[in-house]
Amino acid sequence: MTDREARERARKLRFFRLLGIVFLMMIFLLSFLRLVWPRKAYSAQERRTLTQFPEMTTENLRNGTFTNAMEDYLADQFPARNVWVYLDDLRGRIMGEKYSQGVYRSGSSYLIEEFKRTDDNRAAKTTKAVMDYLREYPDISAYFMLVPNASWILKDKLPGGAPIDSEEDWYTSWSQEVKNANLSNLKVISLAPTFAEEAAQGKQIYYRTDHHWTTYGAYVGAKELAAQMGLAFEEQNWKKVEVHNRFQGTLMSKSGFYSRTADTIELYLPDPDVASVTAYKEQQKTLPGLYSSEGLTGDDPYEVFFGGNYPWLNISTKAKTNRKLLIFKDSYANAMIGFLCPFFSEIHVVDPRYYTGDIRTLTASAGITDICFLYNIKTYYEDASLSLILEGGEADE
Amino acid sequence: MNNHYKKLMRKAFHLILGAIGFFLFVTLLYVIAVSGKKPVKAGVDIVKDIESQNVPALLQAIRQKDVTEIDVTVPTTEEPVYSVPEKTTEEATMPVTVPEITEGDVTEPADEPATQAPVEPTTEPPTQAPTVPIPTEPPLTVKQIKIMDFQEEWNEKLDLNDVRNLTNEEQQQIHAMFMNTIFFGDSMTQAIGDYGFIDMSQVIYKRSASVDALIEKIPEVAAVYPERVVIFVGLNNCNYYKTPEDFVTAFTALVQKLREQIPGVTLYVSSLLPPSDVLGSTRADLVRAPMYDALLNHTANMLGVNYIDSKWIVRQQNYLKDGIHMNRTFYRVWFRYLQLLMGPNL
Repeated sequence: MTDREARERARKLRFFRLLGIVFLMMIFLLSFLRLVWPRKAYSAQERRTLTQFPEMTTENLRNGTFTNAMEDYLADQFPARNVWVYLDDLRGRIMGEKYSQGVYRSGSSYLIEEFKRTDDNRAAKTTKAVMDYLREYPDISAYFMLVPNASWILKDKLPGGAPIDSEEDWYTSWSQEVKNANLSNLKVISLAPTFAEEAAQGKQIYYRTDHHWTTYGAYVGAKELAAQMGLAFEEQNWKKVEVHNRFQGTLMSKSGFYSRTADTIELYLPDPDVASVTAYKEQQKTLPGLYSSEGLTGDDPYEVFFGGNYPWLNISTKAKTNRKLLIFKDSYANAMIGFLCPFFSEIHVVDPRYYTGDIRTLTASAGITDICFLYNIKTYYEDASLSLILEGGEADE
Repeated sequence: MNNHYKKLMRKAFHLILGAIGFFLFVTLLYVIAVSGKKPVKAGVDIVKDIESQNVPALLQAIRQKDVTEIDVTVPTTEEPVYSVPEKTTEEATMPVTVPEITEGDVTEPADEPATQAPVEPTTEPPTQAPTVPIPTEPPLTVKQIKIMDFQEEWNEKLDLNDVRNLTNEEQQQIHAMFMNTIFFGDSMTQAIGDYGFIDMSQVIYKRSASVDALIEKIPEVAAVYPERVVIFVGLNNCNYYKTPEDFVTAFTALVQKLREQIPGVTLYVSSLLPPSDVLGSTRADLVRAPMYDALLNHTANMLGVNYIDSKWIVRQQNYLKDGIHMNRTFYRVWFRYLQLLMGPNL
């Protein structure tokens, strides 16, 4: 009895010793790996810049920023970080997790970003700024198109009982706000009914792994917009070109829900070609066409459109018209601008998130005939930069 | 005991190896999951085809359409007919007396461009060269009268130091007019953007650069493919170029390279302004400024570059403390003058 107990104790002791040794080895091994592992500045998988070793000053130490930054640094520069994230995804999949970092994993391989009504006032402020701005230009035709996100159109694909807020509810109240502003020169384009129809027919409007709409979705949007703008859109032929068929987008990076799910990126090129040139104004570069092979082959292939988001683009086209368009937009518009090129001689594309110039000077001096606000609902709701550039009107030198 | 620990260590080692093996397996799975993210080759080729189009040719096609098919208010054809005739009328009111004095003691440089000039323009495609007339005939054209009126009006305001800021409307007109123009030069040009007369996206500058240093920046200007380039340089050149010939050669090279790299561009050059009286009296090298400006004027005329005489805008009280750069007041008038000369109203 005592003998067996003693043996049992010895085994336990051995186990704990083993545990200790493995534990210590792990710590030393990982610390060693950490020391020699090359530092990365940017994560292609997560599409963000990684934290670098924080600067140590007495000031930083005292107010705690150093230690905070140190934590971020250690997490960001962890050896083989991507594989750990993937391992966590595998674990989550076994455990049946369907939510990560604001993204839901749906049964049909769609990753869908959630919509949260965090601050209605911010959006209301933006809407008011837009209305005030448009009121100053009664002679310019204005169009407002808020593109519904996947969480609205594909809400049936969401896991049952997912606690998200309804984009539809917010959109209804927003429509009312716009109607109350009572602007005679403004037309609102609601895409939800058309999109619901298209989705029901099995057309792919959104990428499975990216928060953007597909070029087909943009095509449907452009058709609706063109109808309101009075453009001969139906007469235009488009040549479809597949440029990527293994596209894995930002939602995969964001959520860490890795899979072999992949999407196809298409471009629709006007069939009798319309010559166009894009001036990247703040970058002081003028490039032919609207597309970037560098963006296409880079980390985020959606950047095939213009190579990403830029503060101010000026597209000149050979279109035989003197209509000039000013677009306020987010990245959704990048896929759609190509559809408008055959109908406008000039398109100014302003991304309020990066634009620093004076918007009223631009509006008045560029001979604008049409203004379009083109956002997806989620970005419009969450972004405060549009109201900032529209309100900062009184430029005094 | 020793043996016992050895055994333990071996076991621990195996465990660690197992962990590493597992991790490698996960790595493999991960690599499979994210592998093959390659775009379609044919698609990339199509995009590259679009990208490799020739911008000047495209722009020409696009801008031509503007002229022929649509009424656009800003005509692109420029007739450079200024700066030379007014000089005689200005000189009475101008505080700065220009070449004559300095040309007296430096006779060689004065002939210099004359000897050089016939050589240079022959290599140059004579696109604009013949359009520069040197009108000495007495009857004044409407343009000249307009310019004289403008100068009279603003000379008066400058003397009274009563130059108001650009109105919103004027600002917008300037913005519209120079949408396809690049302002190119040294700190004199930088001020244009810094003072906010023009969006910084229209300005390319290098501080305290000589004309030689600007030549290196030409690819940046060419990347924009502007319709017009306004060159505005300052006194850096007076101490950089030891001899006037060097300056003329450098400026000629600048103009040639600009035209080479930006086909169809229309070039303008603003006067090289003299230093303030205070600075001028202490710096011997800057005494040559008026002579360099005269050379600039002459060379520009020979090359078919539109020389914009802006010396008449200079007033002593509008110099900054350094005696080289000008304050906003100067640029307010300068821009209105540019608007008159380069705009559709003339």
